[in-house]
Amino acid sequence: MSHKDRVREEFTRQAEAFAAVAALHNRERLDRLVNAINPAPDARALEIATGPGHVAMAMAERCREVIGVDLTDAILALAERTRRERGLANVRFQRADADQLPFADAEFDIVFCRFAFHHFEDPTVAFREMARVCRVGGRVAVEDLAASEIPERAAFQDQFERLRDPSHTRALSIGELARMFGARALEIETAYSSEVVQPVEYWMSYSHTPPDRAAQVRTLLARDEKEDLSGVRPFRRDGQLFFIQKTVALIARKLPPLPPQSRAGGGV
Amino acid sequence: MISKELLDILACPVCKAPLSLGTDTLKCSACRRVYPIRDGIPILLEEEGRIENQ
Repeated sequence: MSHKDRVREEFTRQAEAFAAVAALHNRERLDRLVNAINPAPDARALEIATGPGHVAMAMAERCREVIGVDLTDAILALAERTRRERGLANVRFQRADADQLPFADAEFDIVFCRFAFHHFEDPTVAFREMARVCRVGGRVAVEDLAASEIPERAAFQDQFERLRDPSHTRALSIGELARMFGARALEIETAYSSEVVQPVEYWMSYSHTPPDRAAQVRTLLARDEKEDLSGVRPFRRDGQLFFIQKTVALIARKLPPLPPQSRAGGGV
Repeated sequence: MISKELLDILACPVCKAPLSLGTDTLKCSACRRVYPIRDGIPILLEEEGRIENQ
């Protein structure tokens, strides 16, 4: 099965439960991101891997038009249902592959993506597409899990994240994410970090993790709790196991192509 | 219904050339892939595009 088939399968299976996850539609978190992006009222925005469309719809309250794209039909159907319930006429959802966006260059004022990069096989491909369809002077924003800067610790987190949800590929560190922006001439203007406290059993219930894998996840997190192996700081409260996902949001402005004389070295 | 405004921003996912509107299809002006429109929604995925014979 290809990775994209796996993503479609997971998000079809998880669609209803996933859409209801509090951390995803938490108003405060949505507003924080939309405020940081700060769209002009006449802006046209694009959301990659929109999922249930929470961010796209929050953005649509603040700008002219939003298009949300996703690979998975089932979750787009949920997004569309919510859109109709909320009577939002300036959002549309359509299927597209983040690696091959069906839009001409520079068509959007804002291009954003939240909590999806850790599902991508090669995030630099999707990121290049995001940068391509954004106009010069427009904004590109990414919010995602922030893994440890120490590769072994990041790998430990990926291991239990992947056991729980096979469509997880790899979470990037803040440094890796930031360098992706730099490589595409995107000037980071706002950055903030945040945390999501995950109750382990609930977190595995909405992903429908099968019992054998869930047991492995519990074992890894129990080790992490004792030995501090990934940075997610597992802890127990009233007998329940929790851990903390670090997240980061980076919001950048797309620069015009650099004039040749300003390239590295300078030299008079 | 695909509005003129939407058609203007859409492009072929493979070669990024402009698309033209057919009967329930969108056709790439460069690589000649033809993509379906289902329930008013264009399905612009490489795997859904078929290359039209001359």
